Amino acid sequence: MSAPASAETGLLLDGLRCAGCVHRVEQALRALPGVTEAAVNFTTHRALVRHERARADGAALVVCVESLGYRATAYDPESLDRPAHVAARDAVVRLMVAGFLAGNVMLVSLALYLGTASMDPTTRRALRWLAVALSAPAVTWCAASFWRGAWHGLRRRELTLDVPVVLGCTTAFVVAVAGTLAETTHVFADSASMIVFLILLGRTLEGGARARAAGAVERFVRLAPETAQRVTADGRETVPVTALRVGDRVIVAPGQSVPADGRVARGATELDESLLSGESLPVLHGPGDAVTGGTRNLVAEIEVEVMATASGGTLARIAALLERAQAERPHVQRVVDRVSVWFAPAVLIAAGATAGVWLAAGAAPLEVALVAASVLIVACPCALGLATPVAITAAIGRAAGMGILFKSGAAVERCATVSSVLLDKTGTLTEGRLAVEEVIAAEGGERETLAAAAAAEGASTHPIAVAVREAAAAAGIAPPDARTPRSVRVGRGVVAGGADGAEVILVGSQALLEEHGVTVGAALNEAAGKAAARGRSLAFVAALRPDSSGRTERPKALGVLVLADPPRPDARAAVAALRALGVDLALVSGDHAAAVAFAAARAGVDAWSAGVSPEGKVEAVRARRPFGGVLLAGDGVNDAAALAAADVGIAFARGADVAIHAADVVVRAPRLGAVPDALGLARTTLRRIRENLCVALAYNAIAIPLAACGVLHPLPAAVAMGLSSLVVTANSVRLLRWRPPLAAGPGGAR
Amino acid sequence: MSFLAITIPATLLLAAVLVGLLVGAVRRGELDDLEGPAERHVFDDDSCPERPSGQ
Repeated sequence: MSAPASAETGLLLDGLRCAGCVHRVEQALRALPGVTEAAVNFTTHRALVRHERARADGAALVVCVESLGYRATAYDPESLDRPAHVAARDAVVRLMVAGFLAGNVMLVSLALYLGTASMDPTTRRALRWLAVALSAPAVTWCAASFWRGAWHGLRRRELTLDVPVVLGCTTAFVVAVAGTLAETTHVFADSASMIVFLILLGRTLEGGARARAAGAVERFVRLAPETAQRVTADGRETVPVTALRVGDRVIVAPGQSVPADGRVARGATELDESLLSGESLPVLHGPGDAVTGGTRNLVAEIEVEVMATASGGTLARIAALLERAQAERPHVQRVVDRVSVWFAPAVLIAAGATAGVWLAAGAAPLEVALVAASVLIVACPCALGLATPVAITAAIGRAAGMGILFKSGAAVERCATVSSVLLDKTGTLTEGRLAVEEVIAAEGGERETLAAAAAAEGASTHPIAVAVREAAAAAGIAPPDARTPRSVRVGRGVVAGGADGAEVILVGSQALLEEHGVTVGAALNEAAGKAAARGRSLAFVAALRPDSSGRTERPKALGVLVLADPPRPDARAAVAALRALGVDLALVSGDHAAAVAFAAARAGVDAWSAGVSPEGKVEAVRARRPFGGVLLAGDGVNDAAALAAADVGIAFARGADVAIHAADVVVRAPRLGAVPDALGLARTTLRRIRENLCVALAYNAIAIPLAACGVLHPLPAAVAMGLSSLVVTANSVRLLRWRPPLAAGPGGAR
Repeated sequence: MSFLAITIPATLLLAAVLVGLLVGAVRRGELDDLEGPAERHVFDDDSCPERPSGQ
């Protein structure tokens, strides 16, 4: 067995801080001999590398990335959780220690500021040294992540927010030490540890909120055992899906999923393909028909001859498409990154200009240094560092309360800039299950037709049987006798009863009825034809009643059940809400045109396309990208790649695992209204972030000139810094009370 | 103000002990998931496997 010459390897990256890191890792990997393509995904901290095994193996890729100062693990899903866990605990410990240090330094400084007049010089010196000693671990150990971030940023000639943070706290610490030694009036002892604590607090909060939402998402992924029943010479054996070879025969029982792409070798059944293709109705498969891995067997046991291995089948193709879409998603710079690019240079210029002016005015060098340092200290972006994380934390928390789980903070920001929304049909706009929409009665009444159908279907788990049972229960019809004998005719329907001269009930296709000599009246036929043209599924119901002499009466069809995948109850209201948000709306489905057109019309969506492949959905996302952010809501395997390619992918918790993995947002409640809610909340959040940034910059705009003139006392400076951080936090916390605007019309009730 | 020479180290020591206890709790993973345990009983069907321990 020889390894393929070209391979794709995933790398889990630790230490990525911004878009610059992404670029750097990509460049380094591409420069490696044997690597043909490398794409780094910042959101998931993963890299996708295409390389020749012979010239560059997984270990070489890891070494290459680690030489840049990041940590990398050749991708393995098992190890996905651990690094995040360790990092989160470490961050909390450093935050606690920073809080302890900052609190104590603040108390000591307060004594120094307020008690200077009555304090003897020895006590003052002792307290100053105490403040310095307590600040030292804060600016070194607690602030390690800022130092690392600033260092990596500077090596790439990039100014992240870490640079002004490090600059501010280091200057504050140096001034405190120098001021204590030189016995100056003010020492700024409190600034250093306060800066570190506040910014660590913001980052830890955001990290925690993100991890909580992501953890909640994990719970929706059902870890299905990926095994198959393989037919051997002496019976069956259970083997992992990956062990299946082309030509193997596997048994698929009702309720199980088809393990791999193949062909039906024996038996016939109906398969549920809704998660894979968006097809809302069960599809009949007989001997020789091709079946797709991942579809669910509904009716009868079949034997499948495997035609493609797990790594070459449809599911693997979709998985590869997904990985590529994820890795190639364009990186959108976060709002705060756009500010920090010019913030650091502006602060440095302000400090330099201050020093220049004071020198020119003939001030003593020590005094000039102190004034310039105070500019750097008061400019330290505490509120700026809190502006985004606190708002994002509040938004993620509020969204979770509405059953909307954002996997990352960046997803909230991206969601705010969405201008077009694509909706999947089956399972998104609709409920993804069959329901009796209408009973067209002919011979019997509606109630009699439904009761007969319910009696015939019994406790079957076939989607049509489930729909009939629900409708019967809703109509107050007693549950059927489970002992009635029935036989399932694959692809045709069910024949029930007939024991001991009881009536025989037929539920199924027109062909099933004709087989039993039942004729369908012209009126019924016409009504049924109309429903079928709307993309509906039909189930004819007939009863064959033996008369007193034992002969069967002239058989007639009782009526027909019209079955459809019902739209979600709030679909119309949600579509109206999306329109109110001013987004461009379209329906993209893999289902047939008739079903898609009808669902679109019913929900009030004008633009729709049907029969779209997974690749086609990705293409639909790409085509809309030039006009702004694209949001896709879907739930199927066929949506997964497009969910990853979109700026924001929203999946439903009852959908396919792969879709939940690929999406940025997972909706817990079966409610389409979650889509406009997520959009509205994200837009409000972005507005709060912008307001926060304005508050933070306003503080700087006032404090820097005062510090530059040398008139800013450190106590008011510290109070103003805390105040601006408080205002930013309070403004963000308002998001916790966010409510969706009342939807227009009576359909808006929720 | 010589009393400060005793009270300040004493309070710092007390605070350090408290921080040490909290750090210990974090290291043992007690604060890893503040929301999960509260909601776990809502999701306690068989399809939801317990989080593997010992991480």
